[in-house]
Amino acid sequence: MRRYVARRALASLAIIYIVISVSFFIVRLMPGNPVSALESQLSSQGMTTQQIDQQVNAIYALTPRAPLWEQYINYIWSALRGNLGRSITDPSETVVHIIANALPWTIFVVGTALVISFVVGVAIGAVMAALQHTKLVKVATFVVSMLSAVPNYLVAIVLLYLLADLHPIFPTGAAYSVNVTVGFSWAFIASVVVHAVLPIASYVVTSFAGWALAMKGTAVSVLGAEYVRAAESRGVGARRVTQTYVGRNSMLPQVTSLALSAGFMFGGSVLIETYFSYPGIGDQLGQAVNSRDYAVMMGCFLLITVAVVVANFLVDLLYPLVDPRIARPGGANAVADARAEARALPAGGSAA
Amino acid sequence: MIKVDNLTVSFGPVRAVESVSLDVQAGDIYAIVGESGCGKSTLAYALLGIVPPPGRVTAGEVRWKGKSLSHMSKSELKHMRGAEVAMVFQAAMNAFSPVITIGAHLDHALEAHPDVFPRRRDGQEYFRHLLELVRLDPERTWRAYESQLSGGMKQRVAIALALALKPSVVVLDEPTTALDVLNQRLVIDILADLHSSLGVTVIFVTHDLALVAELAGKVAVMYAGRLVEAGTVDEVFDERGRRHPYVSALTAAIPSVVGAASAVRPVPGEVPNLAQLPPGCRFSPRCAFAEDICWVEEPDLVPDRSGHLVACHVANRLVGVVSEK
Amino acid sequence: MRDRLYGLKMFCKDLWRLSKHDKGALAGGCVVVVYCLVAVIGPYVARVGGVANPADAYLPPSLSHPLGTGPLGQDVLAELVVGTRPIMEVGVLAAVMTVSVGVVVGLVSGYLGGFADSVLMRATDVALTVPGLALVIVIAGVVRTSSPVVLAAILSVTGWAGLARAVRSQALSLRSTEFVEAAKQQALPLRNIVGRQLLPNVGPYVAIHFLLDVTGAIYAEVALFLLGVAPMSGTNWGTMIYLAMGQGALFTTKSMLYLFSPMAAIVVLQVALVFFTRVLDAVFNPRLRAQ
Repeated sequence: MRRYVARRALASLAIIYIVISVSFFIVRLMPGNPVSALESQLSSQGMTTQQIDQQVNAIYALTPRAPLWEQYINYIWSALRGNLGRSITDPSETVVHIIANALPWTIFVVGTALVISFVVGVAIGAVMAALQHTKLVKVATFVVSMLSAVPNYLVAIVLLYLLADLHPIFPTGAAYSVNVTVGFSWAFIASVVVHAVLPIASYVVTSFAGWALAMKGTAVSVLGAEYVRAAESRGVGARRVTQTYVGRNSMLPQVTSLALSAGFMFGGSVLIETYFSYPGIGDQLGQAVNSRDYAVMMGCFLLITVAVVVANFLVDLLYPLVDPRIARPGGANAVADARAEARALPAGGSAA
Repeated sequence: MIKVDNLTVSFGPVRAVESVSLDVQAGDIYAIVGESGCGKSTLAYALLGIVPPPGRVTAGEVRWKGKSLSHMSKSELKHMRGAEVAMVFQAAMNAFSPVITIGAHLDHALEAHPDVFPRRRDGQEYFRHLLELVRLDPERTWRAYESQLSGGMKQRVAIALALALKPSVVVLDEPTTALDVLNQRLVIDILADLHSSLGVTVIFVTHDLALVAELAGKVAVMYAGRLVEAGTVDEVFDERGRRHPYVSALTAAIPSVVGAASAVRPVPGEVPNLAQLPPGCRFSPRCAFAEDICWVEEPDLVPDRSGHLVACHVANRLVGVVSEK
Repeated sequence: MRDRLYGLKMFCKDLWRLSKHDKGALAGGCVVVVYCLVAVIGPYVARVGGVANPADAYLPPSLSHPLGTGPLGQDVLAELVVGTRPIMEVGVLAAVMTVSVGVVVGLVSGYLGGFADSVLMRATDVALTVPGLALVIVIAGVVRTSSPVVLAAILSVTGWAGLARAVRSQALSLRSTEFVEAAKQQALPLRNIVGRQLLPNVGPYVAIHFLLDVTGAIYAEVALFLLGVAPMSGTNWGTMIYLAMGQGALFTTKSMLYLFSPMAAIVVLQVALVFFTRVLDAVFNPRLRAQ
């Protein structure tokens, strides 16, 4: 077990390192990269080389004139130490500061949405499998398939229109009302919750459908599996069969997809938070892209990736509870492939 | 102990098992023989009442110690399965949940039948003893997951698990089919051992005639869903006695170790499509002895004095046994 | 060659037979075909551009403007029709790229093994973990392109990984079978092994993945348009919504049609594609047919 945890931790760190490197590539090496652009812009403004260097370093945590490998090392080192540069639009703000304020909101909304979608989706999927041949389930499958294909940001627009604009049931934006003071008061918490309902709903409405379909598929095939009938032939009770034989085996692939879903949802947060003016990291990324604030952009992307990697890691820790095989030396390979399979074909419309 | 009375099991319009009657006595080693698709597995499932949907019993019944399965309550059925009649599935490859240990499977069975072993530990002890009887390491097997076991090992674990609740009858579906020769020998020995030492009644389904000859006392031969011959092993394998042509052909098809290779004679033709059965005797298209009546009328099972049943117009006429008609 | 045609014929027959059972899937297939037709002939039939006439903004539906007009007086239906091609072009192109890269990586990795395999598998792991849409947004934000090809390439930056894994496991399992050993002994070209053994096994998977990739690409590209990151000149559904939102279309009921028509167009296409994959799944996977 420890080796398994260590291996996953190492893999996670490796991915973060690779992403930082990719970030360096995008910022410094790609044709038309922001650093070169900034350099030429500043020199056309008549700054001295020294001043330019200083500026670039402050904003991008890069030393432009040093040899390339030195730039690379410095960049990575700065990133690890928490220096991600400064915002171009507002140089008094460090990127880290901006992100630190924004990230918790996104984690709150995305995390809640993920949990709700998962629980509701899996439950519905299980019911759909249990009642497979009924008319109700056929209709339900139809509806759920449709929902799974709808892009979540469009749902956000519709919700905004119907429930915040046309009928002002919910607020149109922000994380909490301007009238409320921040702090651990009921008023504040209530305000936060009310403001989070529509954003969370935007994710959940389309996401739960994916889970439901996947769970239905898995449960149906597990229900027909020989070990279920073997258990029945031993007179094992219905509840035990459902819980341990059907339940655990159906849940396996769902837990695997949990991590993938986290990555997807963070991606969707860019648009959903923009539409709801929700001050999360997605919103920041959207703004940064529009104002060409590349340092903030890369910082947001980096943090989103870190969040997803951490989520993956947590799921990795959760996994052995459901599937004891993975923590064992031999079992890991077969299971790893099974996990990749689950990631390969997401349930409709979420290949991004 | 188990009596099958005119049982018909249908999957929609197709009758996988049709009007089959059997009588299994305590202490028998009873073989049900036939080719793939002849309905023998379905018959085996029906003995425990676990025919998978969309299959259903549409006629006749199975009686356990005189009581019909269809009249049993859910809890009676639950008690019967495992503690009185147990099943070992074909190629126990997938008979175990991949995410729990072998020991856990036993625990669930014990949990479902608290009357057999009031103290869980006794049940576990007994199971370990059984594991030894099937030549497996009790401790390692108990803790193992199914992916850590080979096919042969899984088959033997399945046998041990089936016996763990001390049933009086064990039904095995193709116990040796998926195994290599060594494991086959092992399983055969184990079954013979268990029969003599534990006194269980053994019913097994197979298409391997050699297995039948070696292990079984009584045989029932099925073809295309129907019973075509039933009796003791000696009666059925007696070349000079009254036999169904299918059985003759089957035994002739077994290549002899000493004979010439050219002497191998497989049974010509194919098993009929159960959805499109020929009228008359189902075996007639492949039968070397088919006469006009065979194409028109289905033969009945006709007993002789010792209870040996054969369903064939030609065979019964040749030996002078007249059908009840 | 002949048995490939035969295979294709059988496939079409199966497809037709199963479609008749699954009405949703049949409808899905038809809708997709309709969209393709609109994409191809649309620009020749409908006209957009011309003089903007703000006086005609947000007119209600009429015979000359079946879906009303937009904020600059343009015909909504015309824009919808013309806007089909750019979206579908990029979507299909991105899916083609994704599938190609995925299959090639999977084959190379699975068949060659060794160092190439390890490196490629690392890359695949990263591509699977990194949040795809975020990366796409970032790259598109830096590389402001208006070329559909470049856009498609950006969209497929992480999508290939899942397919690569699946193809790889197929290649791995086949590598050690007797077919390949025998083929190698007969010095059959790699083409033969790949074509005869590998592809038919992965074929169904690839086909379904392709369609799902199209949905994913459309999801991502519309997101880019909505952010204003991919300023492709011309009309398409994404820019329509972007303009509508920017003009505060959410707050007036007059603009409802202008805002919701492209949204509906997108949703209908996505749903149709997903439904269509279900019947494909049933054709390729006989076990599902029983349902």
